[in-house]
Amino acid sequence: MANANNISDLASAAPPASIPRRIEGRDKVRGRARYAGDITSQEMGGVLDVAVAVTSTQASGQVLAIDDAAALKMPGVRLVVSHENAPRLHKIMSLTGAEIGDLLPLQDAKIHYAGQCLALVVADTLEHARAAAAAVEVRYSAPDPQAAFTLAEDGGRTKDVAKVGGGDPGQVKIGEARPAYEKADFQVDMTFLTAPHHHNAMEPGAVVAAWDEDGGLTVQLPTQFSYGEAVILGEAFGFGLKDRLPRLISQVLGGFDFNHKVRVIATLAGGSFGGKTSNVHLLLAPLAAKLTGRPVKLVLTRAQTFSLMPYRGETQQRIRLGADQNGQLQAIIQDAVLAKGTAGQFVEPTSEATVKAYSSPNILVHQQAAALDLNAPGWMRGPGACLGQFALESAMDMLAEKTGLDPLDLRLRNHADVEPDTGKEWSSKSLIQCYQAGAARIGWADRDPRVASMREGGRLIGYGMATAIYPVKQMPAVACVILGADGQAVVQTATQEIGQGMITALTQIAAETLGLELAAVRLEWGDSALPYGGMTVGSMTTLSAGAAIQEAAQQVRQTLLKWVVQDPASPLHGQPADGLRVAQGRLVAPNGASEAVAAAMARHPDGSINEEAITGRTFGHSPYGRSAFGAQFVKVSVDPDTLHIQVERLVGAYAGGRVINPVLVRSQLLGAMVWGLGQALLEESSLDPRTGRWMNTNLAEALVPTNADIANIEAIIIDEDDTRGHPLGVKGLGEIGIVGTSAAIANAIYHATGQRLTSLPMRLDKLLAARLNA
Amino acid sequence: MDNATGFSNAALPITLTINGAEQRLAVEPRTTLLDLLRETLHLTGTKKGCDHGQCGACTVLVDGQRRVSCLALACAHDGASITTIEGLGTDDELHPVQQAFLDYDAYQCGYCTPGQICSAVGLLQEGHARTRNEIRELMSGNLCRCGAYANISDAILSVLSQQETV
Repeated sequence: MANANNISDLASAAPPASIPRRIEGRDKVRGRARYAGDITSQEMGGVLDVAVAVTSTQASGQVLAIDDAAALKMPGVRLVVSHENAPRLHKIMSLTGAEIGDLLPLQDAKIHYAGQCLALVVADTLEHARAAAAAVEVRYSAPDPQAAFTLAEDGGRTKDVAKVGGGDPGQVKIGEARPAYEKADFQVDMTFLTAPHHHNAMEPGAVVAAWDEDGGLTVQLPTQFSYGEAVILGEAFGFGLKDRLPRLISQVLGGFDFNHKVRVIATLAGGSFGGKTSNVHLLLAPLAAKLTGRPVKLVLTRAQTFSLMPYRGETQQRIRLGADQNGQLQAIIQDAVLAKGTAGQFVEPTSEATVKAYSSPNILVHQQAAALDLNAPGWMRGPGACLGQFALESAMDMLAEKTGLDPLDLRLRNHADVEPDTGKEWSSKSLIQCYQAGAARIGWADRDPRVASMREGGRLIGYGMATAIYPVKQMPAVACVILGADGQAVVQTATQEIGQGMITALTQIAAETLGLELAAVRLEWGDSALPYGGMTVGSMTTLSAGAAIQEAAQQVRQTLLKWVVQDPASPLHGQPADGLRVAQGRLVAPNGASEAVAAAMARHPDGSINEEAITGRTFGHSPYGRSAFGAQFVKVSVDPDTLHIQVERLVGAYAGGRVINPVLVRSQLLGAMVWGLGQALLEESSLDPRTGRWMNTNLAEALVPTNADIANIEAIIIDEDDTRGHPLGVKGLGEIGIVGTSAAIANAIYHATGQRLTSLPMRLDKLLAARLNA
Repeated sequence: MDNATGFSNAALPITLTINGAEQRLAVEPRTTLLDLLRETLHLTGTKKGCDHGQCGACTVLVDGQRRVSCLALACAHDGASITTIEGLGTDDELHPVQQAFLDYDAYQCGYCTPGQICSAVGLLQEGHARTRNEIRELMSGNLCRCGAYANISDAILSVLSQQETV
């Protein structure tokens, strides 16, 4: 009998210590990492008022009156700001299609959605502000009976869309898909529904705003785009041209900088996942602070994040696949209807992966959007692609069954050797290796492929797989690298840390290029006073900011080498600059002569070497198709009586070019697969169809995966050389883990039970309904 | 007197030992332990994720037991000893759980991390987690939206194994 004290499981070995861990990691585990909500009055010159938002309880109509008399008499209250007394803001343009591009806060009495911010209460303490906010009375006109909140009751709002996501075509027509589908030997025609769900980052939206005596504005908040936020503030508050859109253009085109009056400091984001760019609180705190003349902190409550921050909107997709006798796809037809807000331009790019996943001579995509009376949906991890692949990969599973092919074999037969929608050669593609590695790891070949055939310990067992694909994109970025007299380097670029590990990965790129130890390089980031670092979106930060850093660091290195060989005081004097190596902070000549970078720089006449680089101005335009690929393999068990679904194993294999830091990338991949599991089985933001209110605005009812939901999860990283795609060789792996995972789970549930679930999340009540209807 | 509720918000005197230092404080009866730590004492390592006891980000140790500080009224804990993330480990020597979180990359954005670590320290003291599955279950009050769960479980398991072999 085992000793009761024995630990029955062993921890996996920690990754090798030679792989750098997060540079900000000690601060994070010691509670010293600073997030926007952590900013105290001490850091703000002794004054920091607290704001609490008052939100609409109905989704339409007008505010008739805001009665703040009682609130204003309460202790510590400084201000109640509403449309009745708020300064007028100037219309802005949101580059990300955010709601505030169409709907500025507190400007008029019209109500656009439930949970809209109607007033802000500012007080000296959180308790005072909260109590006063509860005492603000709002009177409303009758709600609009025509208001619509779901796609099922869109009331004729559905319209074709020209563009989705960041500019992908809303309509795609390659070949003649309809006739090809009609005459195909095998046909699959399925419709999929996906529920809205929210990011629910652990850190809610938060912002601190302070106006200075010269009319300048400093805003600190978690954001994925500090420059974008600065421009929005500059536009909304009527600053001069130097603080408006030309600021971005001048930075991207020429790295030009001016003396700006708006400064945005991106704090560490406590999770973001697409949800922390250009939200309404960006404007609310500065608006209140302008009126009080004192710094203001606003932190949203968890419930408020449901309406004052974006989410992934509801979608419907019909997928039709036509294949010939050999299982070769002849037609892919996607018809999607996507929820959007009445304000906000964002439409889910559901087609992004669909047009690139498989070789098919005929592809037809028809996307429509319906503007609903809800707060606007927005970008969320794996936007579009994860929904598109849920539908396409579920349909592929059914096609495999119809054709009698193994699901993996079907995918291999339809492997896209070139980029399907453009015909371009891929820069690199290691999807087949991903399939092989994932299949081997989970034991794909050992399963009984017959539906509902496997059992373990009384539970039904099923295996499923899916293809993952995520496009490689590059955005413009500017980086400045400064090698100082002490041989230490400072790297500057205003990109953002949202938990992905940007600080560490970019510091590694700089250190490696400069030939310095990691500890000799310090990254300055997130502050719009630094060079333009781009948006932290689309898994493209390492490539976008990394390319600029690499180029600037290469220039610094070249300048250093050229100078040192001409410096008579250097032991390297007279050596050919081209022959020198720099590593671990030492310059080394082929003949063995060497000098520490710090020793050389101590003599440098300028005291430092400064170089700046701008990259990505063509937005990553390439003669090649560029994408990261992967595959998920899943084992589920289903209780035959309760229909409880448990993911027993989740294996993903991914190839995304060069991996700067395998520890961080593995964490990103695992985290995104956890997101896929949550999307598959748990996540749904419930709407009251009568009132348009989000109903489960808390973390007990809006389920996200917990530790107990995650059993055996593995990410395999496949080596891949993508220097043909970009000299840095990086593709980006932050989101691909969610793309495909929900389909792999759906396919595993089908294999286990014979029930095909086509609606996310796949809860056991849906499985029960499917069984009863079978 | 609060006009809205009719209850008195007059501050009450309490004594708390916070990270080993005794502090005499005056707190409003409505003030939570979490808001006292963050807003008054500026111990902002303890995070607010939901304010409803549903996410675990605000977990601290109260008399050695893990508690969600957002559901604890400060005035109800007169005389208690509180350990927050700031009270675990030193710059020179991290607490073993903190070190394991670093080694295993058991976090990403870091926002849930102080709560995860305090919860793990409490869990180890409770002594009823013996297996990976038990760790998963008993750590499920601490949400991590970045999905670092596999690494969190490994980090805790590694500390548990070390403790057993000592």
